[in-house]
Amino acid sequence: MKKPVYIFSDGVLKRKNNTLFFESEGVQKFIPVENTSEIYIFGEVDLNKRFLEFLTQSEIILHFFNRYGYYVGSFYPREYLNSGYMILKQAEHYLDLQKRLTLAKAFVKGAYKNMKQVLKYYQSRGIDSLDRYIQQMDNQFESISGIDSIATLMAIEGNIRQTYYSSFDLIIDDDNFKFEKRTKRPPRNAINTLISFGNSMMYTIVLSEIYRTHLDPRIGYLHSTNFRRFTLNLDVAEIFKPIIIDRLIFSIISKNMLKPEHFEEDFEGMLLKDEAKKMFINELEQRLSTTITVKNIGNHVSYRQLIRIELYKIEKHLMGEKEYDPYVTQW
Amino acid sequence: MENFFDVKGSIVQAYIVCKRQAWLLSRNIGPSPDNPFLEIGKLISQEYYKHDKKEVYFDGVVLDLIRHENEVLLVGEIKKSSRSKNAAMTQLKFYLYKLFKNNINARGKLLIPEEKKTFDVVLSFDDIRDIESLIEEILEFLSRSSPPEPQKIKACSKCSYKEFCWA
Repeated sequence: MKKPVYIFSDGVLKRKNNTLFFESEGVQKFIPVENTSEIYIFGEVDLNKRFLEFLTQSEIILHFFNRYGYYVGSFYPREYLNSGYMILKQAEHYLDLQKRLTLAKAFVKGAYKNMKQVLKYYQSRGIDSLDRYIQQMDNQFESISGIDSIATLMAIEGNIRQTYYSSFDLIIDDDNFKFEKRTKRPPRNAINTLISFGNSMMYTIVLSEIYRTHLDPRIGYLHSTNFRRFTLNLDVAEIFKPIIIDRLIFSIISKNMLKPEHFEEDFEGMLLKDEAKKMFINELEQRLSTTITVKNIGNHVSYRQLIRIELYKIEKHLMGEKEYDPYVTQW
Repeated sequence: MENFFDVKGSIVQAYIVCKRQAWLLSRNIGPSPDNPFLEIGKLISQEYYKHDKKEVYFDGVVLDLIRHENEVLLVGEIKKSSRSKNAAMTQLKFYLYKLFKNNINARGKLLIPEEKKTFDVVLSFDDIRDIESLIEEILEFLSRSSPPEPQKIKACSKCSYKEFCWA
């Protein structure tokens, strides 16, 4: 099974013979190209065109993060699974407002249902006061059916998410990790920093999976396409953020795996130190490789495969084969 | 009928095993790239017959292997197993037909190195007639606007479209 490679140190990445090679302060390491699905770069790394050509040939994406842990961008190699047919179908569903709304609403529905499942899970573990938030989210979601504009839909999605986030302090219940409110660019406290980092990871994971399908990541439905940046990955990530990232954050905090020392304050906001990023990614990888049972496909489907299956479901919707019904977790 | 679709060897092969796969292939909807059986297949065709000319492009199709044997051109098709032997034989006959149409006389050999098996294939006049009507049938089928629904068949278990079809 191919695996992602994470690079935190500074150094040089290059092609050596027919494989990948990383050199850093006297340490030399071969990275087997056959076993690498994608590469995440957090350190300062030099690379050249020959290396990028080799990545294209090997169909490996490169994701860059800056030293604050913010996503910079990706080297998305030339598409190798081209289907003009699928691109036209994707565009058709974007240009026709009714078709676009159908898909955009499905993403909002999937996100809402999974956020609700997270709250229900903690409710079943004794946090009774979450019921109020679930009720409120239900009310907010109800108005979605009559909506005929993407902007209004986005606003409702925002409201639901706000309600959901405002329950976080009840779930976490740790003075070191007070949520208070969602702050981005920059995140102002530890928990917001974790959410931002986790969401960025989720966006790149979905992007990596899109690369292995016939879909074009530039044509999204809920998030506006502006033809320059990737948006389809943002749409699909909405569904998985609550069940993968948020659950992961709650779990590492409750296991006391994070200490205030893992964070540093900066004029750029609150930053996560490398050690904590590594731990987070480790836990994330474990979660993604956890297998579950999925109807029709059977046992042993990992969460990572589940994301790919979600993309196939979207392809089938675009082809007119089967209406897209977003994945909702059944804990 | 206007030819919107290129009938390729892989489509002929797929058409016999699973028509849905043939339809998807015609739209360039390729299989999951990380299916382990697909990777094994790729490795097998890379690792065997290193002395022969491989992956030869000819008139819109790709021949796995060509070699000269007793002054005659031999076209080889490499397969992982003999599971879909009949489909592979037809695929090979389709290649021989393509060559025949270009006035090249050739023989075919189905190569299954992992099973140490080979099967000789020659193109008869009956075959030519059969291939021509098969191509007609495939073109007609491909012009349908949507693929047939997935059906659980024996080939599904190792198929690289499994997740796509049953998602």
